[in-house]
Amino acid sequence: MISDKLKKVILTTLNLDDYNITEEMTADQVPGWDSLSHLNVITAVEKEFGIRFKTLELLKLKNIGELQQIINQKLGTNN
Amino acid sequence: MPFNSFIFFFFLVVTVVIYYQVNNKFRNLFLLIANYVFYSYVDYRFTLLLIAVTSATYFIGEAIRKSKSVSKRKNLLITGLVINLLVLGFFKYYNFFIESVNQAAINLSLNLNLSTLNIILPLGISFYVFQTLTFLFDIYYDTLEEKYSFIEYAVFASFFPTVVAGPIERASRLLPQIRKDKKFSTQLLREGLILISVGLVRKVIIADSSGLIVNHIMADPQYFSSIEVLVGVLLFTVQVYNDFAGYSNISRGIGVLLGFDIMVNFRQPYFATSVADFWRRWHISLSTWLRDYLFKPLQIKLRNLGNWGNALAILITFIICGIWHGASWNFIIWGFLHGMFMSFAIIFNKQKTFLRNIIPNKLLLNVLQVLTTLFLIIIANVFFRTIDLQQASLVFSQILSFSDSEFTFRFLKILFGYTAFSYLIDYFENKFNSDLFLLKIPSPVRYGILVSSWFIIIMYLISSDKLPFLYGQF
Amino acid sequence: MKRLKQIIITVIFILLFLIFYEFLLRITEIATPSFVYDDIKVGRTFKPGSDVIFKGAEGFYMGSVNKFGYLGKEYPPEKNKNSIRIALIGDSYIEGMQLFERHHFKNKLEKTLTDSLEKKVEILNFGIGGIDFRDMYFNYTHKAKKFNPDIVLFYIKKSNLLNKEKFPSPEYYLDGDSLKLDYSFLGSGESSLRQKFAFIRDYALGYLLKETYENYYNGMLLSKITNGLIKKDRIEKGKKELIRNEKEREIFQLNKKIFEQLDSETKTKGIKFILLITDDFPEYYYPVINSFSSIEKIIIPKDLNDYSNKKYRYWKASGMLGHWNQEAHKQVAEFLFPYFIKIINNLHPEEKIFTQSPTNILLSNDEKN
Repeated sequence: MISDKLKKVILTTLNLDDYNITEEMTADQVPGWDSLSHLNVITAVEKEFGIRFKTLELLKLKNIGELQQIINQKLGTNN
Repeated sequence: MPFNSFIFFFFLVVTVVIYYQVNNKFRNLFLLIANYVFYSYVDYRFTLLLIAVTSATYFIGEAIRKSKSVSKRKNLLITGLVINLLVLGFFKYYNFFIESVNQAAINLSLNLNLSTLNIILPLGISFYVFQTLTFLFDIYYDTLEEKYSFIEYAVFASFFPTVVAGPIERASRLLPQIRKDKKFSTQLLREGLILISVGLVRKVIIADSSGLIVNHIMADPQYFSSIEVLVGVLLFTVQVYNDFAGYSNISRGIGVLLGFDIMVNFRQPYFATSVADFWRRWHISLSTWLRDYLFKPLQIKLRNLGNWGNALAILITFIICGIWHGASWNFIIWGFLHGMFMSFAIIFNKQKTFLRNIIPNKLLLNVLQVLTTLFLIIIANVFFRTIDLQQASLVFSQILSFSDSEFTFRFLKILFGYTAFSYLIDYFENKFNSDLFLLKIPSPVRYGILVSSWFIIIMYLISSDKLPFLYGQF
Repeated sequence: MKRLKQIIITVIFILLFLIFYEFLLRITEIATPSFVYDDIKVGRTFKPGSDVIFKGAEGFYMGSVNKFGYLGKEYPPEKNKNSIRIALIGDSYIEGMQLFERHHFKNKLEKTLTDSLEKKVEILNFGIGGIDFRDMYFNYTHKAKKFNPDIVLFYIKKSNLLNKEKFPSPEYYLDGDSLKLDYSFLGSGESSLRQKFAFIRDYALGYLLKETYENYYNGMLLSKITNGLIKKDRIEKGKKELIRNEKEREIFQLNKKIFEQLDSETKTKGIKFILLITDDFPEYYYPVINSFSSIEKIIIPKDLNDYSNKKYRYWKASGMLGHWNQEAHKQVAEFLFPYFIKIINNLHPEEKIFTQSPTNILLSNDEKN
């Protein structure tokens, strides 16, 4: 389950009005999410959620679902 | 043995035939032997190096896989990286390093005169080291989770279709394919032969023949007039693409014959609308390697610098791309230029968008973007092709001399012919979104193209002196 | 029936694409209609009006055959009384298809001679690759002579003294004490084969076919196919040496007769002959050449004949040593310049043509020797 907050951050950073974002989706399946905007999304997430990712964590991410998982871990919640 | 030679053809036929006679259980062992026969024929001295480098990497990779400690895994990765890059660095860059140090010393009025060694570059070392490193990376980043036997890995590390000049395959892509059982089918034969045919048309008919003219002009630009040198540079741009893309087509075709799907390395690069777009279409195996294993970690580490971080990461990545190509300042400048072009586009993104919106017609915009991109690529290519700064500046000064030529029409006609043919092939590849576009046209037309092309290729190979693959020197 | 229809359609498409390739090959000049043809009377000759491109390991040549059948600037057979015409005869060194005309020594020489003498000097190039000395004499009698040259220069290297059979053409031979032409090649199966298929050389595709055939004819096909692993020589090496030595003396008599002809032609027709030779001829040649008073003999400087000379023979594109490069041609022009000044001045001693002073110094030194 992708939280609304995460979805909002992604859509805002990529300048999208609405797009259905699911757990299995990978970055390149979302319009405008390329290797350059990727970092913008990540830094926006870090700012919004008040967390900091480790390099290895980011490089191991396989899809948006895993991103949500790491956010949950760092916040200590189980959304 | 070069792919465009009769002896390789003989080797390939024998290998493919025996490959499908052998039982699935022993197929990889046979392929391993074939890989080493191929590599030893080209260069037996460095077979031992290949074995050593790839064995060491296997054991380190396995150690990473077994370890649960984050820091231990990291240290093992670094060790594996250092060993591989030291070997690559020594063979490729030792003399360049010594010469640069000597030159710097001279500039400081010292006379170091350190001696260079008589080092011969092991064939394909830039390619197979990078291909082998993907094994370490893929294990480290959990992209490759299953255990693979040493034989399976050894086949991957010495894979003859890719070992000399790529595409640089990924462990996570190729190892699962190595493990799978293979079954012969006429479809495989058909697709493999089509890919090899397209590759040979690019390599022999376009690249080899144009290379004859390009080589002479670039060797002695001072003997050629302005338009002749300009055509030489433009023709080189066509040559280098068809040489390398042709080779990659042939690699893919051989892979298909053996039941493998080797990744696509080129996607009509001269259709690119920006330099960044160009790198999504040119030498894709290398650019994605650099993106995944160098650019992304760099980018992440520099993310607090925002857009400047992105720009810096691109610049560093492409300087290294230049260094990968060769031990000379020309390659470093070439890489730096590409990095600069893309950094500028990142930093001045707003201005770029503004300019884009000014142009009313979408087609016109496209054409302008493609022409601008080509212009930038061609300038960088002058550095790519010349061996030192002196020769590069000689090329530029000859072009800007506006001297006359009695052959202007002929040179332009020749350039037109090669460019149009190259774009024609690209057009169909693009239209059918596949390098197997020949399969999608009616069979009489297909056979017409194949038979006539093979006729030309064979006649040409017999009646001329062959040129080696340009990328075989890397 | 449907199968047959498929086959016919496929064959039509094969032909269509061959036509496409014919156009592509011509436009890109990968292969072009042949600029040489084998004429029954004069053997291998250039085709007037054809574009020439020659790409090799050493260098590459672009140009066209003028309407009179030779390379370079067009001068008609009729010569203006006030101009000096020089014909150059030799093999691939004179032909110079490794570089553009603008770097050929004849261009520089033509300019410097015309400027110095204030008289129009015309230099015509009749060089053809692969020929021997008797072919050179044939080129003189059947081609160069028609252009009424005042001076004819033969560039003869040691290897040109021996007879070479590269392609079917008329050959001079000694019959008793007279020179006769041997046209027997016309009757051979080889020659009639070539005549029959001569038309294919008018096509770019035909050029490729011809080149493949030439490889077969020269025994090179097997070597090319196996990447040089298997080389088949047409004649065994040891046997080659034997034939060579036997023939040397025989050929010497023939060459000697040709020198006599040239000498007598100077006396009767006033044409000046220059033998530009290398210094490594068999010794028995020199007394013979020196004995002809009307033939000018010039020995080419050692470094222009030295096959290992990096300055004059190095081709950067392939890293090979080969024919004279642009530097060498410049040097040849500079070397020959004073000799031509002297020879041209001696052509019409009544009208002494004055030149700039440095050459005069050179002239007087020469006369002292």
